[in-house]
Amino acid sequence: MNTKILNIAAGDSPAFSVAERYRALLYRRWLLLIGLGLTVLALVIMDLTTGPAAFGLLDVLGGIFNPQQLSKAQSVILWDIRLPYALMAVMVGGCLGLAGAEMQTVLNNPLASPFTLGVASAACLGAALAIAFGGALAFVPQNLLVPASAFIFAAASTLLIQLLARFYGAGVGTLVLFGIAVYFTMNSLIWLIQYVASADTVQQIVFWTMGSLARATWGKLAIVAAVLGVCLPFALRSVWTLTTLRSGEDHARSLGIAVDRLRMRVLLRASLLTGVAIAFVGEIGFIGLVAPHMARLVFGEDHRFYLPASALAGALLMSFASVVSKVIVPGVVLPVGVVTALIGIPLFLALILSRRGGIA
Amino acid sequence: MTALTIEQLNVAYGKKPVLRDLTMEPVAPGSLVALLGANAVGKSTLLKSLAGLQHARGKVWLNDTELLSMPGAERVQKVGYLPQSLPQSTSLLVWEALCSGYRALRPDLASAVVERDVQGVLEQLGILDLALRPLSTLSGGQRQMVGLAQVLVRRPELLLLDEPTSALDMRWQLRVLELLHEICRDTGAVAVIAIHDLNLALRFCDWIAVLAQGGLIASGPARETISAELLRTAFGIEARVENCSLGWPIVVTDSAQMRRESNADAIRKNRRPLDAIA
Repeated sequence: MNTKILNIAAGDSPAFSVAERYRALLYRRWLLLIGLGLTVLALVIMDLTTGPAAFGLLDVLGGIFNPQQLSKAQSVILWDIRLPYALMAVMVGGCLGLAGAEMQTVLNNPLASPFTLGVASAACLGAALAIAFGGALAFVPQNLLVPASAFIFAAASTLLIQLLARFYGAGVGTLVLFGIAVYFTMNSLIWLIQYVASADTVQQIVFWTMGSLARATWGKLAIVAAVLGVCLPFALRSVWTLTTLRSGEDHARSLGIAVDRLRMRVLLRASLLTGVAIAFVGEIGFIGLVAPHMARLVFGEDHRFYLPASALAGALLMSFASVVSKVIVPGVVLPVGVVTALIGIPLFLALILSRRGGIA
Repeated sequence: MTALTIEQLNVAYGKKPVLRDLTMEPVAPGSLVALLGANAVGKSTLLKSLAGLQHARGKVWLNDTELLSMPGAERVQKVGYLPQSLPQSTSLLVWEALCSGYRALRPDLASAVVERDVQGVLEQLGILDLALRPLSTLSGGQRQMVGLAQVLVRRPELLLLDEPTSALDMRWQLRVLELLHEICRDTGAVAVIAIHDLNLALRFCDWIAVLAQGGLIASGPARETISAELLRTAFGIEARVENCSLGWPIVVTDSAQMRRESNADAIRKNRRPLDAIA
């Protein structure tokens, strides 16, 4: 049965109707999606076994299913450090991948990503302000103040863009231009803070902007997972309208799809995903841009597959970056944000070069 | 029964009026209507207004139903609009481009029905072989055929097609217009097509509506309405309307009214001759 379906999908069987051949293609995509999910799972397990402390695969698996068998130190390493660390990589990658995919669709721009609208830069400004001037709010713990401030600034930048778009028109070009303006404004303000801040504060800001999974805790993980858990079903509810939008905005409008409203809803969702992800782990570049392209090259643009595949591709890239960040310099865990672009770019180029048609 | 009537339609972009009190006398069910007129005269605006994509005042009757006051969700079930822009060049498969729009519009339909209808319209248009190809691999003409399929698959009562044959070669232009004529005749649907090829319009369309200066300057059965005077007013051309050997009216253009400045005149006035510019 399976072999028959895969042969049909190859497209050499004129005896089969187009519908049958398309169903075979869907079957193959489901298999690929499951394969992608399993690869992410394998990378998470590899992530759990990687780190300065020696921890074998069997110890890790045994420790997960039977925590009593671990020593106190092992239990702390597995349950308080590596598991939240590895799962945060998956969640953050998923958030950024999904946000990037939705943004590329509604902005009709293959270069769109959570950074395009300046959301990430706004979050960084929020964090930089909290690090530099948080002392004035001594009653709020620093580890809560920084992510809260990052998230508030990310949300505020989105609202600002929404307001500007509402007053001056919500066209794709206008939105992207507003985003670029926000991006440069935020970056200038971050540089200004760095210029006036002390050397210690500058170091903290720079470290935060590099992005690190070391800040992961179960509480933060639960918040990121909840946001992804809420946003993903809403995104999947819009798969037909988003897919329709890919064949043209005019066509989508002619079918009664309120494109401007859809775009605003999606951008708000993408900002929430980005804001939460960046608030807890710092700035992670590249994932939101590359993961959707990887998904598109393999799964096409039927959003039933494209959206979950983008989230999974983001998770895969982040998990892989997490593993690499721990093994690249023995005994040292590099900030994961440093690694994401370094591993993402070769993978991205390999995919593009394997498809001569390009990515747009 | 009257199929399509337009009464005192007014459309403006901001404060600039584009269509003023446009009225079209009743067009019979099953008619293929050619919307003619010079560039930038408001043909696309009129089609968008009828489709509910451009704010308009006035009345548009489709059978006994007034379209402009109808809720958008209800109107899109009756009206199919093909924009002038071609479907985007993306990695979406043709099959997916058709199924997604159809499903977005009719979530109540079973998958088998959607697949049957999509396969049917692709066969009808003769592009079934494109079904599993990404839009990015198609030519402009092929994408225009896909756009047409996206409209036809919904079987609307009113088809509004903005230059549906602009990217097609002569063979496909004939095929599309023959098909539209058949569909209208067989289903009673009305199709309004903005078109620049006057001879194709006269050959296939039952009715012509000629737009100029914000309103219709002529509207009626194609063969009876077309005239040299009308063409001069609408397009600024000198032309004759003659009958071909098969009896179809054809437009033979003689010249544009705007007199072309001769090269000798241009040189005398110290300007570059037109030929040199070209």
